[in-house]
Amino acid sequence: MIKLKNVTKNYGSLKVLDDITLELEDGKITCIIGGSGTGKSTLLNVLAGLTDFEGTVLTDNATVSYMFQSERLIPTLTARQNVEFVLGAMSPDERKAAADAMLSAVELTDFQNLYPKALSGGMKQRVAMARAFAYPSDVLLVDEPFKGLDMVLTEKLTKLFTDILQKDGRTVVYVTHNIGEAVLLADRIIVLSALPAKLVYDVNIDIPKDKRSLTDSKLFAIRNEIYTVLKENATDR
Amino acid sequence: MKKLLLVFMSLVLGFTALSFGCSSPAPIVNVVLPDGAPSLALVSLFDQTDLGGKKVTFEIVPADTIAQKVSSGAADVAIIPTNAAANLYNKGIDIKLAATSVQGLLYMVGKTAISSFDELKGKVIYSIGQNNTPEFVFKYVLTGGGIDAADIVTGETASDGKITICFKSDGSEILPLLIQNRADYAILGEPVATTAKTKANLVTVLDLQSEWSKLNGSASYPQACLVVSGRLASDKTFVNAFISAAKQNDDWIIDNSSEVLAKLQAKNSLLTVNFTADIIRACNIRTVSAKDAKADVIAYLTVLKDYNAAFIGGKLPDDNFYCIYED
Amino acid sequence: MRRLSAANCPTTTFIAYMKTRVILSNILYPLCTLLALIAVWWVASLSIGIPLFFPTPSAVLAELGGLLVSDSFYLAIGGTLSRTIISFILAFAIGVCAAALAGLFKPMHRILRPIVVILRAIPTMSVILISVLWLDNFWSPVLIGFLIVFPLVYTGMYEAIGEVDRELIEMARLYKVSRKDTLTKLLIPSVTPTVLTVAKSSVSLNVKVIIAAEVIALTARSIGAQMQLSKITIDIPVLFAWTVAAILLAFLLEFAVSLVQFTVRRHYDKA
Repeated sequence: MIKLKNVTKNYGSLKVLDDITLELEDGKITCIIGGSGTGKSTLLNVLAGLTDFEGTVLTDNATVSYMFQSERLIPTLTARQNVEFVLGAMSPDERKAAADAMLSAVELTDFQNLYPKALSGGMKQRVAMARAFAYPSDVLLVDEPFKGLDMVLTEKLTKLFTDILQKDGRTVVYVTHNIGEAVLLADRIIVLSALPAKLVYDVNIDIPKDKRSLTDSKLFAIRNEIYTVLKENATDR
Repeated sequence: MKKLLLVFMSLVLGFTALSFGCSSPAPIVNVVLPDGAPSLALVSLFDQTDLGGKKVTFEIVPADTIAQKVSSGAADVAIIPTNAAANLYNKGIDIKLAATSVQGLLYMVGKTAISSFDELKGKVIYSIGQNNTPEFVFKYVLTGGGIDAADIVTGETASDGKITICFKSDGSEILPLLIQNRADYAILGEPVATTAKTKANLVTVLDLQSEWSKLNGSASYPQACLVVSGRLASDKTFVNAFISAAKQNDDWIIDNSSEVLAKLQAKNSLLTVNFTADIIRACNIRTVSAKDAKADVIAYLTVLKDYNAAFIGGKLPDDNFYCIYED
Repeated sequence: MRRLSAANCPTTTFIAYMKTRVILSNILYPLCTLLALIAVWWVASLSIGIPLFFPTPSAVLAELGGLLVSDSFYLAIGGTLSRTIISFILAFAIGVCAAALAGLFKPMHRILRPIVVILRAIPTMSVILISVLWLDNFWSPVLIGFLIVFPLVYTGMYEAIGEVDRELIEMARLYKVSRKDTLTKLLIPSVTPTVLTVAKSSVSLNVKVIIAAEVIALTARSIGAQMQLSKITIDIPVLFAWTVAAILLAFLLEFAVSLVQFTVRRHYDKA
């Protein structure tokens, strides 16, 4: 269980996160939705311990994986080497097995010896995905990973993600601005207002994932609610 | 804009044409001297504009450029190291040795005098002039005085039983070593030698000129000489007049030592030495005509040739090198 | 319809065309420039008309030939080369380490930066004249080489460190990657290209200043001493020949660094 209590983040005089209090259940996917530039990434960075903040975050020393918006692959390492880069704590055999498994799960086994230079955007995010899953973390943070990719590719990659996740079971915090994606993916959806970001909406979705469809009336209603909340709390940025 | 350019171009061309067209009224003889003690050889002539029926100008240039000035013809008359004169002559430059001017100004200074060369063994002697006159003259003096050539080495640390010579580029690098007592002996040229004796409280250990004389019978070695262009050499009147004036200068600089520095600096010398009569005497400025100096020159060049023939241009210059008139 | 064979396949023709262009630009153009420069030199030499002091290219070439068969040539080259290598390695090793430390500890950079700025500004000749008074004639040129190259290596490396992608470092930190792995797999490959470029441009500067120092220090078995000797014996064509030899030596060293660069690049480009 990850608990955030009264978390506030200021960048100089700009307040980004305003008194966020939140409890994240283990093993569940929590989606965070907000308009552009509303502190979603900042919240993830707070959870990852990458930035300082005021308030408390209790994580029970949970280890963290992160799929960043820009894939953040090391250009001088191959796809495989990028995955193995974060597995230094494992024995060589474990490392090889974990990398093999994940590269296969993201369907990049045939491309594992290519350098990022030679990979497409979607392939690079797949490498990042393999890396994030291969790393034995308790929590996976995901920051709009398929932003900028076309719809068909996004659908494919999201399915890949959820398939792996199903067998995996770690806690996920998934930031997106795509409401449709969120309602299909999440166990719980949180909406952040515009800056300074506050929690303005919180909903749990109990429908089993394989039964979800965007035409479902309940999901449709939730989507509209979220949209309305976003509009009400948007800035003119 | 185009018109302006045209006017400008024609002006430039016009001036260029004028400068080529107008020839100077009478050819001026350029006398060039190297900045340093050798320039003392002609100091009293600096104010003269006519000599021996020709117009003359005097110029002091950095010592490194003197060979080039002689070769290019920019200098009609010059004071130049004798080895360089022979070298250029052998390489085909049309010059003749009219007289010798500096009869050696190298001295070894140190804390105490020595009674024999053996006392120098196991010591380091600092010296200027590697591959140059100081090295060759000193080695000649040592070997002539009984030291085995194999016992004379070049290096930076002392060696038992050997005389080690440590060369430096300039006297100014040796002076601090003497002052700080890091050097026991040094071979320097005047006026640096006297400066060193004063500042570091030293004495003259060897007068290389008299040591040379002991081995050779020559009065000394003619370190620098007066050369004239081949063309000027045919003007006997001019050359003889010039040499007489130079001979008078030999005494003048000693009698008027206090005026020497000012005269040099007026010709753009960078020297700042306070030339006393003693220093000037130690510089051995003595003009000897080619006829009288020929034997000493040949003796000197022969010694140099034995150490490094390339230093004098490969061989002894033939008789045509010497500007001697049948009287 | 024409059958596409390897011979008339547009792709292979294009590749052949590109190869020719590469050969042309890498060899032909520099060669033309070189020939033009030699032509200018020749004309200048003839018009100045004092072959003793400004020899023609052919005279210099003849002297160079003479040098190549003399022992003193190889001794001198060997001496200067060894001093260059020593001072370069020292400057490089210390420069890289200092910059790495400065990248980690800000105070270190604050201390080193003024030193580096001063070293960059000091006139080379002053350093030579001062060091010759204190060091022996082998180490004096080595020191000069070091003092000139160290600031360049330090600055280049420090800036390369600054340009390492912050996001990648953050990623490595988040994934708790060991310091060793971050260093060897992320930082070093990231700074290597810049550092090699700095190395290439500073190696010929290194040779140049060492030779200048050798002239003043009268270092035995050195190009500098040989140049000085040729000046004393008024053998200017020999001086020019030594200059050409020094230039070739510098080219050789730059080429050596290029080979290293090439190997490094190829290692990362194999895909």
